[in-house]
Amino acid sequence: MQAAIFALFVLAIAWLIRTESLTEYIAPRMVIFVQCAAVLLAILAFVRIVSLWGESRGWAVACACGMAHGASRWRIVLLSVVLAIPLMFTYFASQEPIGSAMVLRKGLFVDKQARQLPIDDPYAKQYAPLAQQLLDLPRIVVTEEQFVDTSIAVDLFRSQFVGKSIEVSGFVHREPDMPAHMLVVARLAMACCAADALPYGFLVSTTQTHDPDTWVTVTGTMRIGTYRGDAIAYIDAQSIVPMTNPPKSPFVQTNDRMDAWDGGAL
Amino acid sequence: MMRAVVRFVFVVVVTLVCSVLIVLMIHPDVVRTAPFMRRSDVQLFSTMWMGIVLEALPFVLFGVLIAAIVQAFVPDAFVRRIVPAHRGVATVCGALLGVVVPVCECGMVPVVRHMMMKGVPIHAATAFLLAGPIVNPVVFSASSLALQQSPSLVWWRMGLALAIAVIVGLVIGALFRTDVWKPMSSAMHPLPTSKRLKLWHAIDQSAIEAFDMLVLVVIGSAITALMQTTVPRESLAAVGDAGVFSVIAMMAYAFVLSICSTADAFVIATFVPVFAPAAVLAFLVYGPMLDIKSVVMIFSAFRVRFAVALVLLVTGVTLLCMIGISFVRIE
Repeated sequence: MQAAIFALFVLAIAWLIRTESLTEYIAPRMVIFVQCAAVLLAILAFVRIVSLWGESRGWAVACACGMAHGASRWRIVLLSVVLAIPLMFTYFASQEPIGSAMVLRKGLFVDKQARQLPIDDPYAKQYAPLAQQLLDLPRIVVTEEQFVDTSIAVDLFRSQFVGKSIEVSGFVHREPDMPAHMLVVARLAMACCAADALPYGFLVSTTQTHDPDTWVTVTGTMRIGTYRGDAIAYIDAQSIVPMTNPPKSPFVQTNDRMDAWDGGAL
Repeated sequence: MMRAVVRFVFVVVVTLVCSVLIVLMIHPDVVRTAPFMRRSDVQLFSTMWMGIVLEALPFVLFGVLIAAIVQAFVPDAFVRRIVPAHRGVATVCGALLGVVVPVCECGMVPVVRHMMMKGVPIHAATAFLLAGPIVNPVVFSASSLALQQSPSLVWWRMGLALAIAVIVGLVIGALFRTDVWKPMSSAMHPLPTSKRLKLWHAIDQSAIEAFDMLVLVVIGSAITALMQTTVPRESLAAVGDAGVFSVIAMMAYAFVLSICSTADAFVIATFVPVFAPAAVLAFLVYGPMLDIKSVVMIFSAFRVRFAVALVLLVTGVTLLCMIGISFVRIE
């Protein structure tokens, strides 16, 4: 039974890898660990099966004390059911987009005080080189790889970005208290797994309406406005077009901040 | 007679459930399009649940395997010889062991239980349990990267973790001398003698232990995912700069969040400029020592009295330390 559950986990991981949805649950740099875990689990399942088989034939492979060292069969069945539930949830998870709902839970402008920092604050300073690079460009095109850092840099140094032309793609998110002409182009980034994901995005002012979780490319000019009583950078949109080839996942697949760590420590 | 009826009913029910499941697995879209599964909160819950389980899985297996191999191949006498006799020295060594053994919190409990079985004194093993997930090099480099703007916080994190681990280790060691872990039936068996059989047996043991630990991780992360789905982050973020209250709030936040100690610095980094350093440190030190997942594991591996004492002590000592720290100016 234990071996069966391990095998089920191995199958589940293999299925997630095949459908390329493993990164919906964990960050790309954790994938290798999970793959190792799948191999380990397969070995454990194999050892367990051989041991049980050996015990039934009276070999002294494991200790000759009967199944699972006295743990009752009922207990194992019950625990197996507990372990199978998240797998069932995963398998039967509907394919609806979750980006906008996730942003709502995690809170898009939670760190709004951080966004009001003076630009000589140490936190702001570490984004200064990137901000300078972006300012030197005639037109900013936000890539998936740079989404997180660009959104932070643009917001911290918002006064210098005023009038800059920018293009950014992401999914549409709307906070409940947003006026009708506002939306957010958002992406999510995780450090290890979905539970620690954080939302990043650009506020957009537009005349059109768009449904949450639709993928769009926004082109426009940077302005400064107020939102919930705080100064904030926003994009004055010239055009918002649906993406023809939207990403599979609301998560940005390369988290630039984590790349440095990958090179350094692991 | 009665037994036979129960058995028959059981078999029928199991067969029915299994066949329904198999039919559904062949046609998953029936379930996937059901209103319940399409609800965004249900989806978020299941994504975060599986996310935490998958993330913890490799480290649980790693911890369990290390524990089993130590159990099988390191002789008791050797352990007794290398552990310093002096209580204080032993406790400090236990805490510092975390610097070289990179086991994160998910794999910690089985390792520590086996250490205690081998005769590592309780004060040293407890200090290792608490400091290990924080002071190891992987967590250090992740924290340094996430907290670039205030590197001193990283050193404070490491230092406070060691201090709290040593204090709690010493107090726990004074309160409990023996008999703190729940007996594991496997430990009572005569071990096979040949090396190959020993290795086989160790792996087999760890399979059984991994199964039990995995159940606890699944339960713990279900609670965490449920909390994260229902409690918006804003409600905790609102209290960051409110003295003692913010320390308590951040400890509670860390406990509920139950994220890995390598990821927590990234989650808190955006709050650093606005939160009191004591509140941030409370989050960074308390979270890896105790969270929903690890408390579930601690209660299942150790006796209730020990587990309760440990949880209360860690909470109390951390709170006092952080209140003390809030009077120190940290750049």
